[in-house]
Amino acid sequence: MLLHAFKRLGSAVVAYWSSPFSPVDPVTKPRSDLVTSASFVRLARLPLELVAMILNELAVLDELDGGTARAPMMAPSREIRMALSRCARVSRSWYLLAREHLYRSIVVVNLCHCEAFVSAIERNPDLALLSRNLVLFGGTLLASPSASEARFERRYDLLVRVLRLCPRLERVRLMHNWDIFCPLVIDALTNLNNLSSLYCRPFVLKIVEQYSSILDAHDLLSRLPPSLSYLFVDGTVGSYDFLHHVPSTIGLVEYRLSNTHQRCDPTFVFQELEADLVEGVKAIPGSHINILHKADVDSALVGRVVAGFAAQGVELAAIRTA
Amino acid sequence: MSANKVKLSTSDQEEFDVDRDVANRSVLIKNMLEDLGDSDQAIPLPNVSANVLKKVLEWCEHHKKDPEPIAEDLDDNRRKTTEISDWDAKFIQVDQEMLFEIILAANYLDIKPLLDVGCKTVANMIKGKQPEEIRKLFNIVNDFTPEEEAQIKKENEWAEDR
Repeated sequence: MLLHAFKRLGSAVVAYWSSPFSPVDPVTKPRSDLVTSASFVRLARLPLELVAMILNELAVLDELDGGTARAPMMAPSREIRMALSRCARVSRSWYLLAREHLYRSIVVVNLCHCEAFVSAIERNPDLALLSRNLVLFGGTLLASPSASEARFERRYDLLVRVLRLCPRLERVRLMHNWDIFCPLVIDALTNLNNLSSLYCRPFVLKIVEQYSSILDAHDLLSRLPPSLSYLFVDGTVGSYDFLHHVPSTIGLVEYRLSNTHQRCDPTFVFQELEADLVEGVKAIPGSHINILHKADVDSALVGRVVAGFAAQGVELAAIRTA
Repeated sequence: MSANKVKLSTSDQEEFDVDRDVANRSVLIKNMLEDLGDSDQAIPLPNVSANVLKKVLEWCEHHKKDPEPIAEDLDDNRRKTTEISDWDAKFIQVDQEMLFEIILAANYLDIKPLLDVGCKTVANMIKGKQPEEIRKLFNIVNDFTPEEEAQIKKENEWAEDR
């Protein structure tokens, strides 16, 4: 903790000289109106390293909804994001300490805030270099049939700009119907040399119909950064074919099969699983398969799928009924 | 003095006879004791007053059997928490001046778990406060121009989701 605080303080002091504001003494200044206060003598000497530790304690990560046991979604809550944002406005020295935490783990909840975030990092690219974790919500509403084409394209344009502007991202979580097979997105992902975890839930393959066949995904997937060791997708009907195309360099794959989508015929899905999925999955070492199915799926059919996985030596992490 | 006791001398010249295992919660004191060997000499703590040391020793006494703290890993997947144990929460219910004194003393004496409790408490106090309220809490002067503060507010507006 102490070492961590000193490291943060050190980088903040270095960053201080490149801050957009005119330089002043970086030591916390006393309020002139409180000079006679009994507590002033002590409080005025509160070293910046202790402020750094306090902000480090403030910037806690909560487990938000949407993660899995193997990949919990750790991100600052709304309350913490707002607190850090306000700490950044306290003073120049606090600005440098708070922004390190604020921009380290980015949670963007809608298109409007995404535009504001992109605008901020375009104005000050140093902020983007602080970002390590990205959680991007905002897919569902914009993916609806009522969303205009321009708005739809704007959404992907913003995502690509974020990925290109934040080259040090290590964990990316795309929530609510993003299509990672969009060529522009894959292109942007290839620039993330430190990307270790990519999480997409739900994963919707046909949301962007720019390619005629899933086979097109093969080339795209092979361009994912070699640093990637964890890929999570929450598949819907027909999307599991992509498992055939995951590069062997990605050792850990968690794939959640979900046929709870209203438009899916669960029986149809499980017949496809029998025929195809088992064969596809066995090639991926260390893969963990979760099956989530509707209650009206014939249990004998589920049993045959499970037996098929077992025959191929593939362990099922969980079988659940929606 | 018994081998199991050590003498601590505060900034206001008060002396405390303390069990060695209690005093050893402070890495600073522990290292000094190792350097001094067996000695009846009081260990001077010029940065800690008697009333603060008394409070710190109360914490050390309660936590004397706690395991040594382990180095914190910085993995962003790790769950962090601002939760404080019931005893610590009650212990740290002091006025703001004493809270800051305890933090300063814990930092000086190198008592990391106590420093964590203090920092978490202050972190919890910051939540929900406006910048001006935080400035008052820490006695900080606003060294931004109004334009600069507005610029930062705009820069971070993505985080202020309402």
